[in-house]
Amino acid sequence: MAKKPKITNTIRRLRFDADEMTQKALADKVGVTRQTIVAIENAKYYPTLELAFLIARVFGKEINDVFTIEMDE
Amino acid sequence: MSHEEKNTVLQIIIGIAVNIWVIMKVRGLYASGLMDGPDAIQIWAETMFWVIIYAVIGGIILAIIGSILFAMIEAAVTGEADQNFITDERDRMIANIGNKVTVGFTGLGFIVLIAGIKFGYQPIDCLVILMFSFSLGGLFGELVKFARYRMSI
Repeated sequence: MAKKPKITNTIRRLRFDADEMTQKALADKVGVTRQTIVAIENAKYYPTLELAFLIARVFGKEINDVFTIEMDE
Repeated sequence: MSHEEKNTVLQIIIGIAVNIWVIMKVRGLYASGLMDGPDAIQIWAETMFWVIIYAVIGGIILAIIGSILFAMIEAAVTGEADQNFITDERDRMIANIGNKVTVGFTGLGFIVLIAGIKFGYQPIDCLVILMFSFSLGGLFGELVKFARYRMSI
């Protein structure tokens, strides 16, 4: 059986680059709770495609620049 | 804690309180011998009817009081109370998991009801099991939600 792919992200670094944007500020911009941003950053929760696009748009990036899929062989 | 997570904690507390109260009520009915009489189902149904009404009203009151207490505790600990009442996609995903557990429990209770009657157990005892599968299912669903919230941070 194929292993579940892992999705990593660069949100923490992007927040840092965006004048140290807080998790709360990012959460408010995309309409979710701060806890959801924490869970996404820690790769404990994978966002829907819609939310992933919204997060990428906040940083002015393409979705591939924010989220990366890692396939375990 | 998000608004929905706090709500889950409150529902667990309310669920435990309601279940303890229902257990005491049912124990009282059995102890009084009313559950062995010919009107057992009628008496049980009447008791449970009021139990459900009181539980719903009490649950709403406890939820309001609990929300206020939560905000006060949060303000005392962190210096500010979170006024964010957003329910987002993660909350809905976790709610779905909890609902599956609740529905699974109630479904199991229904199967036990059917099997119990088929194998000759008293219908009133099977109904009691069905009712507990509902109330405990709701509680376990909330516990699973809380566990899922804690696991995903």
